[in-house]
This record gives sequence, structure tokens and C-alpha cells, in this order.
Amino acid sequence: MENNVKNTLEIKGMKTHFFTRRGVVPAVDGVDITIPKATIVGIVGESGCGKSMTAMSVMQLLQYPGRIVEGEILLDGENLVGKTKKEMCEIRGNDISMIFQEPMTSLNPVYTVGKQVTEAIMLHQDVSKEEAKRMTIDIFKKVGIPEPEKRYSSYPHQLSGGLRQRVMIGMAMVCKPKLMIADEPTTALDVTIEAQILHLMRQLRDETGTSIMMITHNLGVVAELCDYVYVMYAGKVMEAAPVKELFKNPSHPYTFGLLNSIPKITYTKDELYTIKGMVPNLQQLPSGCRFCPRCEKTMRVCTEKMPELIDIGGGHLVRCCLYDKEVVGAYE
Amino acid sequence: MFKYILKRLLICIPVLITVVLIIFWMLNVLPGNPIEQMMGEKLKPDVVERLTEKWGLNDPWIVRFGRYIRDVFLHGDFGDSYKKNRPVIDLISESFPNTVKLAVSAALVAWLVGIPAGIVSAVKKNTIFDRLCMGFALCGISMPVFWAAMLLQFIFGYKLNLLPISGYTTWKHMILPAIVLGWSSSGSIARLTRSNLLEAMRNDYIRTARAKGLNEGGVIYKHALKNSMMPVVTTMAIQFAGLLSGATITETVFGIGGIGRLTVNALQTRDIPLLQGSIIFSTALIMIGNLVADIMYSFLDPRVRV
Ligand SMILES: Nc1ncnc2c1ncn2[C@@H]1O[C@H](COP(=O)(O)OP(=O)(O)OP(=O)(O)O)[C@@H](O)[C@H]1O
Ligand SMILES: [Mg+2]
Repeated sequence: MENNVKNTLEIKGMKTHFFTRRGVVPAVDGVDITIPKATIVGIVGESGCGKSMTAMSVMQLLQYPGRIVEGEILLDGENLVGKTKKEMCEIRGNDISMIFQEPMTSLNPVYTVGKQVTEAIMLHQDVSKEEAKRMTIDIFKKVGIPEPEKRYSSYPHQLSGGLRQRVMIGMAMVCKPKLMIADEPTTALDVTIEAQILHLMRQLRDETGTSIMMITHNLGVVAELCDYVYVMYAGKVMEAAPVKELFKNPSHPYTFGLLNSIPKITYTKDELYTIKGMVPNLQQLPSGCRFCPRCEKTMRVCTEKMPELIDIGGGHLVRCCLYDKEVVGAYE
Repeated sequence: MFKYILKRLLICIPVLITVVLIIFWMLNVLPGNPIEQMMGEKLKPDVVERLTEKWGLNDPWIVRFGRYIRDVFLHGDFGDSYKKNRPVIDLISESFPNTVKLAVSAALVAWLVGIPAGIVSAVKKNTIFDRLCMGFALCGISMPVFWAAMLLQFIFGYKLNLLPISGYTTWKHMILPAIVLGWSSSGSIARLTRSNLLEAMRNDYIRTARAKGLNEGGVIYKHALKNSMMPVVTTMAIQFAGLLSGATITETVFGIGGIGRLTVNALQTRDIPLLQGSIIFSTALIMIGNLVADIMYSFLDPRVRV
């Protein structure tokens, strides 16, 4: 069945809140993210800004007391919010799959890695055990695991971190999903292995046309891998742009700060730029712009009004009063 | 694997010798002559002398210890009971079948009740089911065995007149002791199962299992349970070995002639060979239980496979 929707995933105004004893925590607070077909979209932001919770919301794997309170998640035009548990089980691992940061602990230590991948196949496809095993060995070959037949019966502890992450990617890709969510898949790996894994992900995207949501706090990874990038801050998207555009023309002061805090070899002194202040407590957000208390370009309106996402051309969106024509007009 | 088991069995020998050494030393420092203790104090002096001579009680305890170790480990001879004048081996092997029956039936009760109760209360955490199961478990753990035994005897034996309350001849006799003893072990199994299952559910691989599309039941039974059962299985094996070495109180209350009662009788009558024999027997069982637990563990957990 050919689908003429051109976006694999569209998140529209999604809010995910945690209803804790100490009050409501708005971990994701009205986020719009679009992932076109066969595209790698990066999501960056400091720790705690809601990247993982956005991903878990898409997977509908939020743990109590978290809940999606508003918005839509459209996968190929089909809304996932409100699907039953059973329907979601059929979608997870089949249409959307996910890999995680911790390759060391994300595989079950008591089963062979082959069995764990086979399990994913048997859940979604009507194939025999032998067929599933053959498919597993094929996907192991594809994700660059040496000696796939032998590795099939290895236990996770017998593999290195890089190999385990390859197994996870194999497991995620084996049912040819429409979307793969990767939550900091290379954070726990060393740089050479990281480069290999990133290369593998791009290659898989090129071959299969799977869209990838790449969550990271490493802008280097974004530059390396992504086509489009969303910058999140305190549960909101602050800036969104094609990758080249973002690096050439970072427009939000927060993005600016993030880019400047990457160490560069050309620095002669030992000083490194840091964004001053700390990530705000989500339960005591400042009125107006959430980044305002840490911003170097604060104006008076910033404390009064949360700006909308403003289109500044070339697919580049910014949530900042600096680009608000009314505001700027009033100042001039 | 075979080498590992052999090694572990060989380690048992020095441990057993140490246990015997401690028993010898303790019996030696206890006041009183075992012969007078057993036969009453009005024995003729020459009889006492003859028996003392016959059993070699004149020698220092360390010499007796050496002799005993030699007999046991080289000839498999545990000596004769002072009191019953029969080989210790025979007495133990007569009591053991009853103990086995009691231990197996109690363990079955403990496992068949404890594990499901633990799973239910973990899956339905903080609900009424959880509270009920854990309340039941707490009763099992904290209720004294003799009291539970008498309660059940009163209800099922006396009031309802359904089951016999003493003796150990038919299958009906096995029911109440199995429930009493199994209940007390099931409590700790249920609690251990619950806490381990809850802990296993917090692991990252559980998230992976959910992400691949398994439903909650599959996640629990295929991924969490096997991981959480490892410590439980260890406890079950050690508990079972403990049951095999005799459940003194249950045996006494229900009038079952098992290892537990044999040991206590030996202690009360200062029947030294019998006491030593049964303690060695129990110690060996518990060590084997530990070994079995470790072997089972290595089957469950590929990381410790030898
Ligand atoms: N169980 C919970 N109860 C209350 N708040 C929660 C809970 N889980 C997450 N949060 C909140 O959600 C916010 C977003 O968390 P999230 O894991 O999405 O951050 P992240 O962007 O992935 O950060 P990191 O880079 O550290 O992975 C956190 O600031 C936290 O306060
Ligand atoms: Mg995260």
C-alpha cells in the first residue's frame, strides 16, 4: 500500500506532564516536531530538557506518573495518541523501534543476543523459527557484526559495547520500521566506535529509507549525521533548522551558547564558553521566555511574553523575541 | 563443570572435620560423665569403668577425635549409639525417609504458594492483592511453627475432624505438617520473589523488551522473571537442605520420627556417637544444598557459567 503522506512522523503540540506528589512537571510542554521520510532529524538540548520524554511519548512507554495530556503524534498520518495497549504493541518494534544510550544494560543478560533479535521478529512477522534465525544472521551481517553465525549464540556479556549497540540497531532495524528513535546511542561509546555507529546508521537510512530521530546533546553528532535539527530547552523547541543553516546562522541565543561551548582546537587559551546559570526547575519556570534568566540578550519584553516560533526563512524557525517584528518594531 | 563440582565436594571434607572438631570440644567442656548422664547415677563403679573403657572415654578428647575421624572417613563407620546399642548409620537411615517426605511436601507447598504470591504482589504492586499476599507472607514468617501447628491441629484435627494430628503413616498424615512447615518457608520466598521481580523490572533491558513490542505479560514472564528468580532459587535450595536436615519442632508437635527428633533426643540423652553422626549428616546436606544452589544459579545466569 503506497502512502502519499510525506512525513513519517508529525508531533503536533504535544504536552507530556508528570503528575508527581509535589505538583505537575511539564517535561514536554507543547512540542512540534516533523520528521520527513528517509530523513535523520536531530534533537539536541541540555540534560533534562525533555528529549527522552519526547521519545518515550512517541513510543507510548511513559511510566507512571507521566502522561500525554495534549497533542497528536501522527505516524504516517495515523494518530498514535489514544491507541490501545494492544495496538501499540503491534506498532512498537515493527513500525517504530528504539535504541538506547546504555548498550551495556539494554540487552537481557540471560538470553543470547540472537534469541533476543529473533524474539522481535517472531512478534511481528509470521515466520518459522529457522526463518527468523536466518533473518537475524542476515541483519547481523548488515550491521557489521563479524562472524554473525557464531555471534548469534553469544550472550551480551561476551560482546563489547560497540557490538552490543550494533545488536540493538540490528534488533531495531530487523522489521524494517518506518521510524527508528535513537536516544543518545553513542554517548557511552568511545569516539572511533561512535563514528562507526553513526556511519552505520546513515548507511541503513540510505538503504532502507527509514527515518531516524536522533537524540543527542553532542552537536558534533548532529553535524555529522543529521539533515535537520531541533534545539530543545525546558520542554520547548527553541530553534529548528536544516543542519547546515543552523551551524551557519545560529539564531537563538541558546543555540549560540551551545555552539560556542564546543571545544575547538584553534582555542589558544584554556577558556571555554559556558552558558551561565542552570537549567530551570520545570515547576518554577520564569514567566515569559524560559531562557530569559540565562540569556545575554535579554530585553524587557522577554520577561513578559513567551515568543512563538518565528519563521525566519529557509525552513529556519526561532522562538525568540529578537525576531518578533512587533517587538523589534516597538524598540526602534 | 565436572571439575568444579568435584572441587566443591572436596572442600566439604575439611569443613566437616572442623565441625566434628567443634562438637568434640564442646562435648568435652560440658560438665558430667556421659555414662552417668545416660544410665543414672546409681550405677556400680565397676560397670562405669567397664563402659568407659569400652567406649574409650579415658583418652584425651583430641585422641578420641582423631580416632573418630579415622573411622568415619576411612571405614565409613560412625560408631554405635550408646543408648540404643545399634549402628548410628542404621538409626539415621531409618529416620531419613520420614524427613524426606516432610521436606519434599513442605517445599512443594512453600514453592507453589510462595512464588505465585510473590509474582502477584509484584505485578499488582500497592493494591489489595499485594497487601493480602504480603500479609500472608508476614504471618508465615513471624508465626511460631509450634503455634501454627497447634492452631491447625485444633481446627482440622479436633473441630472439623478431617485430618489426623499425629503420626506419619498415611498421606493424610502428611498434609498438616506440610502446610505448617511450608507456610513458614513460603513467606520468605514470596517476599524475596516480590522484591527481586520489582528490581528486575527497573532494568534497562525491560525497556528494550517493551520497545520491541512485547506486551506487559511477556515482559514479566520472559524477561523479568528469569532474572529475578536467581536469588530466589538459591534461597530455595538452601531452605530445602535445611528441611532435609530435620524440622525438629514440626516433627515433635506432629509425632514424626525424623532426623530432627533423632538429633534432639541424642542431645538430651548425651548419646555422643548418634549426635555426632546426625550433625555431620545435616552439615553435609546443607553444604550439598549450597552446591546445588550454585549449580542451578550457573544454569540460570550465563555470566557465572563455569
Ligand atoms: N518520573 C518522573 N517524575 C517527575 N519528573 C520526571 C520524571 N521523569 C522525568 N521527569 C522530568 O522530565 C524532564 C525531562 O527528562 P528527560 O529524560 O526527557 O531529559 P533529557 O532531555 O532526555 O535529558 P538527558 O540528556 O539527561 O537524557 C526532567 O527534567 C525531569 O524533571
Ligand atoms: Mg535522555
